[in-house]
Amino acid sequence: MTKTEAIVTDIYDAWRRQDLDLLASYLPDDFCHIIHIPADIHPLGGTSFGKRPSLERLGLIATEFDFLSFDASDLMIHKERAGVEIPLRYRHRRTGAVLETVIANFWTFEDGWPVRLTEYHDLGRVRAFTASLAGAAGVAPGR
Amino acid sequence: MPKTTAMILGDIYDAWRAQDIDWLASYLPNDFSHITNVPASIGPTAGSCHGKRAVIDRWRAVMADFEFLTFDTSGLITERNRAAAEIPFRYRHRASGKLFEMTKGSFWTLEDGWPVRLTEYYDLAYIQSFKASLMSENAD
Repeated sequence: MTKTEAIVTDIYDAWRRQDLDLLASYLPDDFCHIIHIPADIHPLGGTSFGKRPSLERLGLIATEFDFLSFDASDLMIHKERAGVEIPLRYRHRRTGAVLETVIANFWTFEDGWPVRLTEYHDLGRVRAFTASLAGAAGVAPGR
Repeated sequence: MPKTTAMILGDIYDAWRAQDIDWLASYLPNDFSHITNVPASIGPTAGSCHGKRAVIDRWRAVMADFEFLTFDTSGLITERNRAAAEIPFRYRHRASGKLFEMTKGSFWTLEDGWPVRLTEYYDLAYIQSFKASLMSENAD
């Protein structure tokens, strides 16, 4: 296993356990995290510049959901890049609703350490899920 | 010598850049699938498209609408039966002259060395903004 593969594997293990302190130990201060979800579909979409804002946003996701499964076994790595499609199941803690979808992650490394994560989602599924939560709560999506 | 995943996808991407749909089609099996993970409301290129003919029709429509200025697949990661790439690209919308510039994520699945499925992820916020700018221009 290469150092890059070991780091990504450790990061995903930390994410599954919702251990953000362990996850943080792998990120540089100028880490950049992009989530390609339009704000009208979910307010957590957009770009977080810096380790602290990135972790704060990841913390919001971890607070909102139990992670039932997160399968990063299809990870592909070449030199300073990695890409993976991840089937996942998250349970929304407040409503019990289960989000079952696939996300795509692309990592960029510099000197063997992750400096950027770009995350893409199946936006039809995310939109349907946020709408179902909004319907259950009787409020507008994303609020 | 059989072509590697990198060689086949390299040819396919060269065909895409050249906007040569017949050349590109020569690499696809009849049961090829193309999945675009954006809501169906975005238009005919959204959602799943099954069968080589339907996929080629879908891509021919993209080529009719846009001139491809850059399409950078240098980040391609390949394995024996799969591949992934984040692809920055710049297209020019032929009707309006507007530039369409974004990065997409692509995942290929291959069987027996040939591509059978392409799944793509997009920056929907950018697409929505581009479509709105076209509609606004048309309304003026």
